[in-house]
Amino acid sequence: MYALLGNSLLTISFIFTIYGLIATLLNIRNKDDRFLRSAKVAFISSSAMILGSALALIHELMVSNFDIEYVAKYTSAETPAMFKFSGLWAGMEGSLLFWLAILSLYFIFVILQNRTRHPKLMPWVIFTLGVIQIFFLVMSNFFENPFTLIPDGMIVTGRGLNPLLQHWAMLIHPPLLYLGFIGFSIPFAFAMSAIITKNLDAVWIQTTRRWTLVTWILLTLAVVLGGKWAYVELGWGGYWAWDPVENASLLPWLTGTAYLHSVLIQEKKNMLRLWNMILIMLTFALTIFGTYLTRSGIVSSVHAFGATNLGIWFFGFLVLILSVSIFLLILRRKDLKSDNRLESFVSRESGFLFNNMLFVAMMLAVLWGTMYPVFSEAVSGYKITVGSPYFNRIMVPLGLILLALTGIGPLLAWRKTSPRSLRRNFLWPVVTGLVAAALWGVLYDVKLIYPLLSAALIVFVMATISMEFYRGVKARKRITGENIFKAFFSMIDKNRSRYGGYVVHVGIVMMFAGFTGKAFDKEADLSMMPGEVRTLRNYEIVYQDYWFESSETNPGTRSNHVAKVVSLDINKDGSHFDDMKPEKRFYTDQDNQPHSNVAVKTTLNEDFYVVLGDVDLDTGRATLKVRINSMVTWVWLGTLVLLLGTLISINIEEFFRRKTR
Amino acid sequence: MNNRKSIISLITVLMITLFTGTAMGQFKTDRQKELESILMAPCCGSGTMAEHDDNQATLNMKMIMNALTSDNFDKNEILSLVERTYSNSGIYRLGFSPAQKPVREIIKYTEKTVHPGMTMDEIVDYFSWVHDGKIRSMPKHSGIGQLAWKMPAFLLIMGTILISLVIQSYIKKPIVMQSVGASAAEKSELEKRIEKEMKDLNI
Repeated sequence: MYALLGNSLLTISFIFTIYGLIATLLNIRNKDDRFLRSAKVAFISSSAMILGSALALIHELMVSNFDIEYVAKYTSAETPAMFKFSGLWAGMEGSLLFWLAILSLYFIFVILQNRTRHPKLMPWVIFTLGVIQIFFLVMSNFFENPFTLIPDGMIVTGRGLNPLLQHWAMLIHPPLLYLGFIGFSIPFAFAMSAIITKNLDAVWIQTTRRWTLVTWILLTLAVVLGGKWAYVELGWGGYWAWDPVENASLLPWLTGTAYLHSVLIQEKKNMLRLWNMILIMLTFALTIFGTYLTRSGIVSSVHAFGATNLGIWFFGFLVLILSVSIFLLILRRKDLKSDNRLESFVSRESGFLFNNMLFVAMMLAVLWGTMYPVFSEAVSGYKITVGSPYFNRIMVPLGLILLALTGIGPLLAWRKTSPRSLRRNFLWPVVTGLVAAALWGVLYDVKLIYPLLSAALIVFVMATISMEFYRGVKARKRITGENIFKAFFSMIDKNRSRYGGYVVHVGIVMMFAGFTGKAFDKEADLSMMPGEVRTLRNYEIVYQDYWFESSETNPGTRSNHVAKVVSLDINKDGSHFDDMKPEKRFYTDQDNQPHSNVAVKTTLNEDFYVVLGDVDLDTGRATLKVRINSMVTWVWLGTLVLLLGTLISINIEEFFRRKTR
Repeated sequence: MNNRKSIISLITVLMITLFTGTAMGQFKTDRQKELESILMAPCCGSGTMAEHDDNQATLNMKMIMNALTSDNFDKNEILSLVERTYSNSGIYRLGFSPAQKPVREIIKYTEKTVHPGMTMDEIVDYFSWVHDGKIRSMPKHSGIGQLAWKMPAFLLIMGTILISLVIQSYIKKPIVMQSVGASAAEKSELEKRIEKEMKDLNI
């Protein structure tokens, strides 16, 4: 019954969306507001129906209705309830419906929030979002319908969810990723509307900047959370492998970040109007490209959905987006010209431009590496693999230049920086960075170039940011007579965008510290018998015990798998550090698919990371992979600081106040 | 079910048998780590050996790599590992088919190729011969592979030049003040005229 309801809602929403598109076009043509009102009702209704359809599928997943092919493919009766829920985005059909549901939420929000605002922009904003919605509705209704029933007479039990997806991070990561990806539809819709209607003043840029900031932080959190999941779930000890699907999420992030920087120039100087338009269109196109990449099967990835015939449709949609965007950019190139000029090569504006160039170069480098196997196959008939070492060699230097610009940019003055001011601003941060790196190198015998360079830049950037805060507080204290704390907070409150940005930079620096730590990771493979003791650096590993657990011994926690568990007593510098219990699981509802459940003990400086290869239940001999991962925590902490900085910049209260005004 | 259990047991026994007896308990050297990161795992569709190790094919290859880079180089041990790894009676039974060539050919090639103190490139070339070029996680620095390496640098250089040109064109041109007085050429012309006129007036 719910399946029928969900399917019907999906079909009717398709009809409503078509009607909404026609009504919007009639409004644009006839300037009759009744058509627009009608279109809004149609789009809100179709969006509500899509949400209803998604709820129907969730219901069927939760009650394990195996008459539905999708439910049978991605869940089983034994799958824990929360992972039945995440079955919604585990497969192609469900994930397309999930995509539609999130787009619908955004769509309703945009329509309601802009009831009286942007009257000139809204018809085309609605039309653009409607076109995106209809594309996904076509995919969902006609190609990958999640409500397809199992043929009559066939009795099936569920195949269960992939064990790798049975992790708490997978409950949050995909929704955040989708929120981030789909969120870029809104700035894109505003940009399209602005360029079509020639309303290229500051209004669309202010609206899209806030939307982009919200979307950007959601995408950032999603990317990092994906890394956290890979770290604790995939059992190889790292958090980023430059996999094509990971790269797909990074591409729009890079151009989105470039846009967030360059938009400041347009706000302050009314420059780079064409460039900003290109960036926002490119960012949206890259989200569709990422979706195409994961669903077309053109690149090999452990994270991709199985190859389907959807690829050609996504490719067609991508070509349509790019063609329309390029056509409009050419058509309106004169309107997008800026009259203002730069005054000097050494200015903050130039710094922003170089920063933008670097972000776009990084995006192109990642895109090139990701697509290179396809390119090489097309040219030479031979697919050449491009893995993480390639990306590391290309991206590490680029990342370090970007880190340097993070410190240099804020020290440059708007319009023009005099040589005297350059010397005054740069001398101490540069000296501090160099001295710190040299000391670190000498004291800890570090001879690797990149980590030393990274350390120097990290200290340099932190010094520049501290200097900015110090000068700001000092000036405010002198002018207002406030005490140091009040001056600090009111300074941030008065210029949230600027100081929020600095806090974001602190987060980025912390993450770079984490990335730098990777150069010092250690790894060892151990084969141990119970009672045996091994020493690795200052750690002592005592193999205590091993046992077997199943749904019979632990019905509450092992409903869909059996597990071999070993117990390790870890001592550090002679004192007790942790008890660890890494597991090797075999998922009974997934053809006994093996899966290593990693044990990690996290500290600020390093993680002690153990993966159980396997244990022989007869003799007790266990194979273990032990890693000491340096500074990983700094990546996660840096993300939290980055979130804090973004929240300061967005100023949530003002965001909603302005929206509802 | 029994069949599954026996497969799981077989994997366990093989893993442990193969692990036991190898030099373990030490951190991997930077060389080993680098090698693991520049060769793709022969399983799973993507990811380097460093990212995969819970399948037999990858584990075996890691052991061959360890033996090749070991200070106590033992050719017989390497040959025996190669045979165990690539023979049909070995891991092929578990569904892994990492190599592209018959085991006899691989052994013959190994005997001829491996030697103490092999360089990183030599080891990578060795595995590339056994598995074909797909085992590399990076394109070669020759042929079409060069394009992969040179393109990002080319883009960066072009981008820098482009941005520099854009900034240059954006920079306000300083207003050139037109001289009120005449140019040197005009001046001399004027002086000549004045002199001529003065001559004419006999001043």
